[in-house]
Amino acid sequence: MTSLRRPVNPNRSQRPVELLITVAVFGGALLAWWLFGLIFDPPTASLASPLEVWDAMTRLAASGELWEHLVASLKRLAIGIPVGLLSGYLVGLMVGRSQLMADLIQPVVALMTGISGLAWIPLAILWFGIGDGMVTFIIWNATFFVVLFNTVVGIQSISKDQEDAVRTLGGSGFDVLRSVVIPGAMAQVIIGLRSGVGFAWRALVAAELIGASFGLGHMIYRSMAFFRSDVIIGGCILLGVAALITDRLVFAPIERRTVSRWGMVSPAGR
Amino acid sequence: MTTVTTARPPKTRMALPRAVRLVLPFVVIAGVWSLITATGLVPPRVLTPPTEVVTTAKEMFLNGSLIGYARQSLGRLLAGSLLAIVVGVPVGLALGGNRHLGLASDRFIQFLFGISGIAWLPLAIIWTGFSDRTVILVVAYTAFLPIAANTVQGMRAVPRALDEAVICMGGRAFRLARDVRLYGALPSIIAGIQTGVGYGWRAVIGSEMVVGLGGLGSLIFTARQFGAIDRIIVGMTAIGVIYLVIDRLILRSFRDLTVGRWVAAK
Repeated sequence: MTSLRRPVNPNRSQRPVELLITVAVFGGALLAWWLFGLIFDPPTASLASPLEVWDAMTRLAASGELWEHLVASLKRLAIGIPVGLLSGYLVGLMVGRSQLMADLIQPVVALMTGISGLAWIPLAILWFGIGDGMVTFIIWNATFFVVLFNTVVGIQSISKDQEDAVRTLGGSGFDVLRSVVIPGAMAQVIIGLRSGVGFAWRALVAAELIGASFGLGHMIYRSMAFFRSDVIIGGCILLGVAALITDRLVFAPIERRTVSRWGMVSPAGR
Repeated sequence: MTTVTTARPPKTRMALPRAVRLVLPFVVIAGVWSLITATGLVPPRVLTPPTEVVTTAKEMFLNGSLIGYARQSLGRLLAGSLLAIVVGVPVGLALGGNRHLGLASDRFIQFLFGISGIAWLPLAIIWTGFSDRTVILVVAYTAFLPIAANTVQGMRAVPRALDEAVICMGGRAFRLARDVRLYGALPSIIAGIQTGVGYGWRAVIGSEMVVGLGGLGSLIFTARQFGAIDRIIVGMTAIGVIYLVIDRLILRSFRDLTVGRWVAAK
């Protein structure tokens, strides 16, 4: 497999420049937002200034309320995402090997992807009531089908020759699974994982907005009733930062260790 | 050289007719579903039998209410998506035109990706009230991101050699922008529109649940208050089917008719 290793990134020398520009973009956006507030002076209820947002968030953090919401959200994600990923992956592995099963499951998964997490909220509220169970179910639902779909697609894209090669060398079914199916499908699985986690965050916020008494989504929604745009904007920024952190700490290392090592450059790779 | 023969004959691919492949899984699901409800294991207020859902679906379709809800949702999706295309493609072209700008915008777009449209919904409600405009705003924001991101990425993927070819033949900036960058990025832009509209559809449903001015999202959410599981499932199915029709039939054939031909010709 060594011959498939990805060539060394020729743009490595560009990194400091890239970092500088990225910082400048975020700084510029912040500045534009601050200047907009200074010039047009919108009411705090509809557009709080960066300083007001900072104040509101530090106050929430100091009182401990912010952490309560954050922990509630993270707890739901910590259960929903792994269960969704694992179940989607395992079902995908079982189903994807057989062409017949893959054909049969495809239309159902396609329809379910269309319905996705959000549309399940009313039914989930009736089933689980308001709170943790319902939100976790929605997160599971949002991740499961994306991962399942991508696992099946990944397995189906593996060339039959590779399995035959392992078989010819005397490999067992387990060997095929270990050295052909799992690595062969990995690039696509990681794509599914990435979008699965993205969908999970979206579903979390929507589910908490509509039916939970704690969590970031609920915090944002409740602030609307009090016209607290500072808390809404602060909450939104927190969500964006969380996405950046997840990408940096979770996905970049996973991709480095799996997809790039196996010589497959994911479309999302940068 | 010895010839290697495989120990077992090559597996023949079990090919089912397309119609069977599409219908059979749903028949199985409906069968399991009726079994569950028929045994009385699950009370009807948790899950109604499929026959009842079909009756409700027929009724709602015939009295036109289902079509009315769908039309409201689709109108919002159309308005939001058009807005997103009109803004997103030019923004993406501007950002993708410069290599550094494109790289820099990457992280920022990723940051915005983390903030789903629904998260902005409360702020949008403060701005424009419980109105159609609020839903359209959220949908446009949601669809804008993939469209702009894909435009940037598409322009970056255009080979430098094409630039140089046009310059060699005396092409100026305009020809370069149109013939190389725009056409080169078009497959990616169209893929972005497809993703954007798909995300936008979810945003429509989510926002309608909160804003509640008709539409399929509003239908399933108010049905919950009456515990009308049949109406919820009818609404959910309509949401899924409409998504598939938009994604598979309309957007995909549009793609095949336009850039699909170029990709195939490569």
